[in-house]
Amino acid sequence: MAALAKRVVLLGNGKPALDCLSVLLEQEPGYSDALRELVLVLVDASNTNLGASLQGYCEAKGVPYIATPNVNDENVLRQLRVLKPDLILSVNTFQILKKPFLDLAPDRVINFHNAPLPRYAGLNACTWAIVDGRKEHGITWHLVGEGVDTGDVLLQEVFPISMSCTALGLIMECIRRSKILFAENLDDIVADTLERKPQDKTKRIFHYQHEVPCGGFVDFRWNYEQLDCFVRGLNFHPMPNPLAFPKGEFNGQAFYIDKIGPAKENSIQSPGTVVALGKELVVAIADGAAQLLEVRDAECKRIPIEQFVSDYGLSVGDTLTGGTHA
Amino acid sequence: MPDFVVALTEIIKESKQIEQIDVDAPLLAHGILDSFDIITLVARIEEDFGILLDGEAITAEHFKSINTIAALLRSEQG
Repeated sequence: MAALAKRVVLLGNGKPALDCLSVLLEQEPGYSDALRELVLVLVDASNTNLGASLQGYCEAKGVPYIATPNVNDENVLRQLRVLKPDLILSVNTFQILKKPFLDLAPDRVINFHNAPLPRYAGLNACTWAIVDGRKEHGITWHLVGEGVDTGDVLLQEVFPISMSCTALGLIMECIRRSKILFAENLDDIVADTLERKPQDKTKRIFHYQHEVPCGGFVDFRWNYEQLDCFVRGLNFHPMPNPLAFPKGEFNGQAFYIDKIGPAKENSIQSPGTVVALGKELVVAIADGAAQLLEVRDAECKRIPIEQFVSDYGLSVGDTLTGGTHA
Repeated sequence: MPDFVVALTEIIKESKQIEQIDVDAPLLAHGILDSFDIITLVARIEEDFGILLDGEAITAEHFKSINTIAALLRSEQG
């Protein structure tokens, strides 16, 4: 049986890659050994995010690895060719895999993406899904082609987005589900027995890394749901925000919103008008009013609402502005 | 001011179900903590010590070891 073992390379970094490695290492050794052999972990050293600790994990577990900031480098490719991989798993990889890399295991490079492809290909999928007001999101394991996130879908799971979910919360949910989906289907992934479903190109939504929803500005002319989705979609607390904090302005001074809530008061005043002050800060929006619950000052430092009101000199009747007013 | 080193050691031992951990052990580099663990730890720090940590403070340097996290908490507490 050992001669039939598929030679597997795992590429990536961070929590999702750590999870897949732990599944590869933990599943019943006797049975799994007959099906596959993890021949190398290729650590994506271009990922320097907090938690990008795949290298340390490999060292601790004695797993063979190469760490490289460029997986397409000829020296790396040469070492991989010697290993003759049957399957390459790409998990949380920050690099574009070029054709010479894909040729290492033709039609057998599989990537995890934290979105229900063809929707939300590219970057920051969880942010865009929440900002767009989606009620459900998903995860996908797909073949890697020469386009970005365009290959045939092998596995997909769609699940609801909770009404209070932030970008970070949705990312974490995707990662949790990814590990389970991977563990449940590992043998089929290795054996190449999963149905390959081409993506419907007409439903593709793609976002680049540099794209920020509405330039990061809130718009108080939105209704409550739009404003809430926008704020939650750009909330990565407590982790560093890789995109933008939702921005508003008062008297030319920027502030940022972390969280809003429904207001008891209703309002027919112009959007952005401060309706009530005190422990609560209530602002008129398109369909009534919203409470600003958590805010940041111009330096993006979290401050209590009372301090925000005091520092910015806010009074009832003042107008907060956003993207289309600024 | 609480003894952050002792408290953090207990929190991490409990959450990771490990018996011993060196206060200088590289938490991230050795894969003792992953990003989910950091998020959980930040919430626990807020709950136990009332210290709000935020994006700027959540760095690999600050979360290198129990000692470096304790130093961060001491500086945040002023």
